[in-house]
Amino acid sequence: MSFVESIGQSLIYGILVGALYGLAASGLSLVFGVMRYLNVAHGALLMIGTYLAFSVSSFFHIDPFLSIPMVMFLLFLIGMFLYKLMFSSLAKYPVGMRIDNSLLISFGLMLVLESLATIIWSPDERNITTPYSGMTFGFLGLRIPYVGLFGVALTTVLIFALHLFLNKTYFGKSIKAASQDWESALTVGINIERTYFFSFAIGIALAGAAGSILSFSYAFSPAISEGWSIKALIVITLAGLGRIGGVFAAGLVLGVIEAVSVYFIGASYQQVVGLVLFILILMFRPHGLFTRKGGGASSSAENLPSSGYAFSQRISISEGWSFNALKEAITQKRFFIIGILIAACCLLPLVIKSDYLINFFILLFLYISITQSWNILGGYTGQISIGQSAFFGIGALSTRLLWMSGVPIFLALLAGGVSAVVLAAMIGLPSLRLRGVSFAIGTLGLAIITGVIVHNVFPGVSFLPAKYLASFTLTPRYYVALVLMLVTIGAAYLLVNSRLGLGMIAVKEDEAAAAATGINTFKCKVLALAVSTFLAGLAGGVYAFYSAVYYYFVPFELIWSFEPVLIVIIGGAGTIIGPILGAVGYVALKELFTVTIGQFSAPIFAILFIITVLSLPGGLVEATGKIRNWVGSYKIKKGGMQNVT
Amino acid sequence: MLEIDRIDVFYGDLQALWGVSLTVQDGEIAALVGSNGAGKSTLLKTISGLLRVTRGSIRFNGLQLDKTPAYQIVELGVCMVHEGRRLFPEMTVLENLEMGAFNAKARKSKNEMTAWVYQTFPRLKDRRNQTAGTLSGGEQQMLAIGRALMSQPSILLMDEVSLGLAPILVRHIYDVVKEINRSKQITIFLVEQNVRLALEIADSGYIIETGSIVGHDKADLLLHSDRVKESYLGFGQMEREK
Repeated sequence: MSFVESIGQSLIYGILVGALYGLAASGLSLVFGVMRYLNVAHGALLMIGTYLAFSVSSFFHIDPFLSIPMVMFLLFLIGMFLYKLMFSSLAKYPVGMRIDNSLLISFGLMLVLESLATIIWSPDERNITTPYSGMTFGFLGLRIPYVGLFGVALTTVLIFALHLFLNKTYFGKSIKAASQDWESALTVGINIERTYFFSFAIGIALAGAAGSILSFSYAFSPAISEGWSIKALIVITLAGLGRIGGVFAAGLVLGVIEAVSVYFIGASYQQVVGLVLFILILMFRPHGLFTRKGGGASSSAENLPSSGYAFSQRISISEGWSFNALKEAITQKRFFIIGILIAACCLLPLVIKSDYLINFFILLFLYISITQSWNILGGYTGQISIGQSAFFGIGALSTRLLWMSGVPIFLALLAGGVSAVVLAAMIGLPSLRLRGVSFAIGTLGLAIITGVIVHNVFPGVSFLPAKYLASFTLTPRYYVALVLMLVTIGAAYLLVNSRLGLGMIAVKEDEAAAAATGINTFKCKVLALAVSTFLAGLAGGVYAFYSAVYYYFVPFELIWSFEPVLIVIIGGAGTIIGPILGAVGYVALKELFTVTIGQFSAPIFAILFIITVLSLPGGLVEATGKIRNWVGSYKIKKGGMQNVT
Repeated sequence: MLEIDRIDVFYGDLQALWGVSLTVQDGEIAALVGSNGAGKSTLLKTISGLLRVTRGSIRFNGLQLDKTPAYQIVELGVCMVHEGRRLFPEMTVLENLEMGAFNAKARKSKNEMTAWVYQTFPRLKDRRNQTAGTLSGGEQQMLAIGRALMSQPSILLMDEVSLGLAPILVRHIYDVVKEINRSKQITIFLVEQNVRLALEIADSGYIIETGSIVGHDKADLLLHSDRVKESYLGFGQMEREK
């Protein structure tokens, strides 16, 4: 095959997969554009689509392509059901709070769907064979598979129909109107509840279509959910968040770039090239590829308060905690309680002899540390990063390698923290140009890139050498984790109560206003990033010190990025105590469920998680604040009564 | 007739309206004036269903509005022009107008209404295929009013129509508002910081301060009352010195 032919062939495969990216992302974009719901379960619904296509076509013995309308209809119904069940209650919140809370509950939904699919259909990979699978036809010396061609044709038809619907029908236009200004849509008499309901269901139906088309050409398993959610998120960011047009084209661009890069650098770095290009494009066109400059950009996601509103309500509580705490800490009982807690933690290994419990506490301390480290950047400075796993991972990797080569562990730990800061300086600094959801998706891209690279360079398992293994005991690891946690909480506390901390909070509330009052916002963000990543790197180092045997890439897994975000938001972002409460509740419940119900623990835990988020939209800290208010007003009432009598 | 009876409205724990009562008669222009943060916009948003009352009731021609969803309130003939225009910036002028006629009743006579809006604001006709975000401030305000008229309202609620516009444009828009009121018998309830302007064109007026109605009279009497002169028009000092 000549060079030109190879490139041509790559292009063809790129278009085939890119069309699917575009179709999947269109559904997500509709949901995000209209409702500002960041539905990370989109990939899981697509995965459900693949299995439904499989079940429908084998049950009715029909051509797999004929199952597509049925799958779309089923997912439309599932979308309606999910909207009524979980998502409708978020519609009454302002935009920032919608993004946060929809992210949380859809993350839970993804876990539920993934584990349900594993239980029903097993975790094995499958594929659907059509009567014409494997058949290709030649075109200018290139091979084009029929199945893929049908897929692209169908995708194009669906996208075209979607655009006709949105631009030509009254109801479609009302969906567009609602995406541009929902309050205004209400005042012209659009039934926003119904618009949301149908847009959500249509978005999910499109995921179903993408899933069923995908299932004819590619293997699928429950585990594809996360990857497709991420792909769809990247595509909608590339197209310009909140815009429904241009998504299909962005999907094609990503597909082609990925496929062509395989030709040049091989399949193992395919994802990396796409992501690097994605981040570069985002740097130079922060509003997306296909957005016009000027011209009423007022509805784009960047101009909406990304998270500010949701957090600004919490800040009053945080001030109550931190400033009062500062005064009271010296004189009051809070100091006493903290002291007792620390003492108890120090004495614990002397009392408890169970390795299981000690392991649990080490894990808990690690979670509190990485969560608190994220809180500095995400909770206090408002830079919602989904890249913490990169810094946690690099800390673990550097510490482990240095420690193995004979460097004393405390120096190795320090080096782990420093290496995370170096990585942050290299890749994190440029990403601070991005704002809001773009920053979140951009940092997610960085986390995936580092993960893939480490996976390729260090594919193996890291064993402790015999001389270390012989002296391996849990107790020193417990104390190292405890010190890490105390250092992290202490650093976060001191930082947010400093002048710099006030600057960080100002950046979160309104970056432009902060800059206008003379705060060096870039410096605030850089320092927050440096402290946050240093602590994350330290935590990674402790993980590497704690684990006897692990795969090198495990600390780079995305779960280390997602869980801190979930825990901080559910605990109460921008407070010191919130993430601690959140981590204790999260880790303890997760562990409890795994121990008690085994296989079904994941879906039940996820359902409980969703219920918690839906009933406490402002986080655990706000809930305790509410209870305190309520108790307070009760006391006043009672006191008032006594005065009267 | 719009009757508001002792309503309380809250933003979370903060009370914004305290037992507000007022009546707008059919066919009149009523003005609600007051300073920044007095609760003017809150009241309009509550009438149109974007905010909910905690106590009290809102009735329009005998129908209860305070529990009706916002989109049905528009069908009942109550339509609001938002403060700061609030158009659909990426839709064309014509599409914005079409959205105004979203409810089933208005959709039937969409074409006649569009023609009438174009006749009222000829500038909009010239710009009909331009996206709303590219219009000038005055044109946007015309479109906002035009879009509200498309729903064939019996009463038009207008929030700070003069905000950010040149005086000559404000004059023009208020002339049109008077014309709409006279020729189409559409009741107007307008909210203004520009007290003199509002009371000059209105038939009756209400004064709102920190969430409560503190004064009500015929508009011209209110305009010349000491209270209004002193608090809003800045004459108090001068007259006392005389």
